[in-house]
Amino acid sequence: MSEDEALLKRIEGGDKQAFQMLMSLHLPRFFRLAYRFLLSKADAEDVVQDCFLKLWHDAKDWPVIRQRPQHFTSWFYRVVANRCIDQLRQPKMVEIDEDLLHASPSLFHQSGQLSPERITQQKEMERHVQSALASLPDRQRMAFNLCFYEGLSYNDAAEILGVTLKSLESLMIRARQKLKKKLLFLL
Amino acid sequence: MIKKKLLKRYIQLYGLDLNKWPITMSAADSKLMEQAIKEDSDLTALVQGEAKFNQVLQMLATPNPPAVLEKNIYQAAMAGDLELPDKRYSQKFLYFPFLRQWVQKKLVSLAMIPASFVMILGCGWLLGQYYQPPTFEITDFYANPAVSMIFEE
Repeated sequence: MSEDEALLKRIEGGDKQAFQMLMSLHLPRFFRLAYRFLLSKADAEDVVQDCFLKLWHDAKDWPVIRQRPQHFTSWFYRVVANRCIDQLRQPKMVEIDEDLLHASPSLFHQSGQLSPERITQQKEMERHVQSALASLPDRQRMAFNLCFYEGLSYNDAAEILGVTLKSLESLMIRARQKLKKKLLFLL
Repeated sequence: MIKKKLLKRYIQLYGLDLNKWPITMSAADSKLMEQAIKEDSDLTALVQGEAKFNQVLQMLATPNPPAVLEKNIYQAAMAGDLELPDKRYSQKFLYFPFLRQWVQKKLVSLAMIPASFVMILGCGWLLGQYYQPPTFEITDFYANPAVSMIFEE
């Protein structure tokens, strides 16, 4: 029995500690997925919080927990992905969080080694990547996010998005082409 | 033998990650491919461009979740706090927009088949109501002297 499987069984029985352990294991991964899709830290936090709260409250009603607990990760990817798409479809613009850009950990980490010009340049590139990703249609963005950033196989990503393998390939090809077009000046 | 044109196309479409290609490659094929890339300047440039593209995409820094988030979720879960922004999930959390769209499309296309039959039959019936087959009298042709001459003969 895998660790996830054991934790899910315990969560189904109302074990709070198991829920906390499952969160510690998976929260960063799903937060990153949500952030890369929504490009907003606040929205990503909302989505992840929403999904985990529902996992706790409705644990008994979810057939996947009873039938296929070993598939928790791919199933929860789907839950988060759908919730992200829904969040994006709410009537508001995607905001690129400038404060977050300034405070991104990678830049903090590198700031000791890089010159201010280089940091500014990197921030600028990051901003271009964000706006290029934000310009992709929902499904292409999620497919690209899952396959490129999360490193999932096309089969897994197709299952998560509920599309055929061919459709996913097509989504990825179109996403790559659009991103290349948008980021051509950086290449 | 690796077809360079095909290789170029695959790199352009699927990128450099061989696991994402729709074909499976043996170790020997991979070696041949690497050799072909080294020998061909176009392919080398393409691979370098792809590597740069990947590098640019990796520039997207992703923050770690705030430490307080986990604590907040835990506290909210224990308190039974379900004041979520989207109430749709309170009834049906498993929400598959793509499945729903697919079912909708299938239902519409299924409904279109009998609908088109009904339309065709309806049009036929309507036409039948008003259509009268033409009845020609010999006198109809009298206006044309050439025709009337034929009949007279």
